[in-house]
Amino acid sequence: MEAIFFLFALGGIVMVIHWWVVNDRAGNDGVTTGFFAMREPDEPTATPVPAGIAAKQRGGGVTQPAVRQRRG
Amino acid sequence: MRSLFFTTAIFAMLPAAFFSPFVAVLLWSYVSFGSPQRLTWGISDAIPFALVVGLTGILGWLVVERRKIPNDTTTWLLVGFIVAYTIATYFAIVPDEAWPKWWLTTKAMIYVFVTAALLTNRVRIHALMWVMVIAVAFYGIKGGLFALVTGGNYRIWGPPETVIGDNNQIAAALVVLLPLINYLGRQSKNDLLRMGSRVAMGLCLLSVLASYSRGSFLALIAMLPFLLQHSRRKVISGVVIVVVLAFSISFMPAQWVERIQTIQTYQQDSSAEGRIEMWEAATKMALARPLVGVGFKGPYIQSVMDQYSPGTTARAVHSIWFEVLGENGFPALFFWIALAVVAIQNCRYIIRRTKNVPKLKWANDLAHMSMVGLVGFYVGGSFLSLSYWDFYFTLLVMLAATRRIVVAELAPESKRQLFSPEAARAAARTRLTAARPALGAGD
Repeated sequence: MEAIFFLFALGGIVMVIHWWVVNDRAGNDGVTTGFFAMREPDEPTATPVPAGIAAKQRGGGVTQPAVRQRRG
Repeated sequence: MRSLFFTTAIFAMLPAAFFSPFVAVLLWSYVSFGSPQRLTWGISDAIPFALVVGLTGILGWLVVERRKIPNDTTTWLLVGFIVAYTIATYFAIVPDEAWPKWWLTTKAMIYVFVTAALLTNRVRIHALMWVMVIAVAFYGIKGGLFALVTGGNYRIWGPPETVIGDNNQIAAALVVLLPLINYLGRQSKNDLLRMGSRVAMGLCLLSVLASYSRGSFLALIAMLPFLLQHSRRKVISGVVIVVVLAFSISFMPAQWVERIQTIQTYQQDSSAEGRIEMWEAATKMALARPLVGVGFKGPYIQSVMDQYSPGTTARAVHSIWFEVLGENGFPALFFWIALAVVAIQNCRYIIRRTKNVPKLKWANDLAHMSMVGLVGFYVGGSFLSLSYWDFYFTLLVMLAATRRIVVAELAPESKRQLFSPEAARAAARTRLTAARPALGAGD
């Protein structure tokens, strides 16, 4: 039993290190990806907010990201 | 079998640890805080893993990623603490006993500095927190399941021959860990990790109780109001905490209740009385040698004890405060307390400055939960010897690193909206640091 836990913990450590290396190489300081990815500031909480409402909450309509993109 | 897996995993990651020294910090933290090598036999017995990983990391730090040790209050207080206990060790009454513990402590401190130098962004902080939690929570989760199976009739112990080997020490370590697990759960995107963190917290809580440690039980009780105060949903959190704690306590057998009830009658309890006797003995030692104490391990040596507190049996001091005081004198205690004060100040600063900043929500959560963990450590540590626990010092440099990141992130905004001399100084420091490589490249 202890051996299973031991290997589980060791596997967890290896996964964390792998996660960090992958995110570090990708330069992911702001947004992380992978199993241990961190929740981002405007990440949906337990109750998902519809996309349109979420966009309005961010301070604009649903078209705002596209406008921003065009402006470069 | 586990020896083979462990050795293979560590050696397979050594090249990565050289070329990316932060990997060495993560590996060192695992080996140092969790002591997994103590649970393996066979070929791993002959390999000094900490030394191998440590040297690889330091080499990588010097050659591949040479970052400066941060110039902040925590660093200088750590230096002061090291100088104070080194002088105390030089004047130790029994140097043959003191120097080995000096080396053990200093070895860990060196890596605390390497960690401080390499903790440069939030992903590193988050990864290190995961490693710290997995390394120690392993014992909590295993112990919690063991307590469930055996009905809490047997005590939980930490890894043998380590700083958290004693039942009191592993329990205190788990008390500190509870809010840190909560932080990881809050900050994880993955539902499995969020749910897993809650289960882990429950099992660690059960482990704390099943350690039969009265000091840690007091720490747990002292920590709960802080946990509530620093929770987002106070009512729901309060109800959950009360229900989980009530269930856990009701699960424990009658012998546990009897043990905990002796807190009220500590005057009649030899163990509790012995602690107070040792605190008095440590104070006498410090008063007799105020600048240097009796040196590391002094209170464990009967001849030393007979000299300063005749009639007292030599043993562990059982208090983080009195341990530093008796062993290394008032200067070391001053630095130790100053480190604790600065850690709390760092938490408060981060909480205050990141309160309404969504992009620094992680720092806010980290500071809140670290504050709760620190309270648990100071209360629980008042009844056991854990003054030189490297996990604690790593948490301190982690908070200092978080504060630096917060200052750097808020610096431009501070200039425009929330001008303050401190923020302006921090912004100037950040600009200067950014300009240095460019100036160097021009040469």
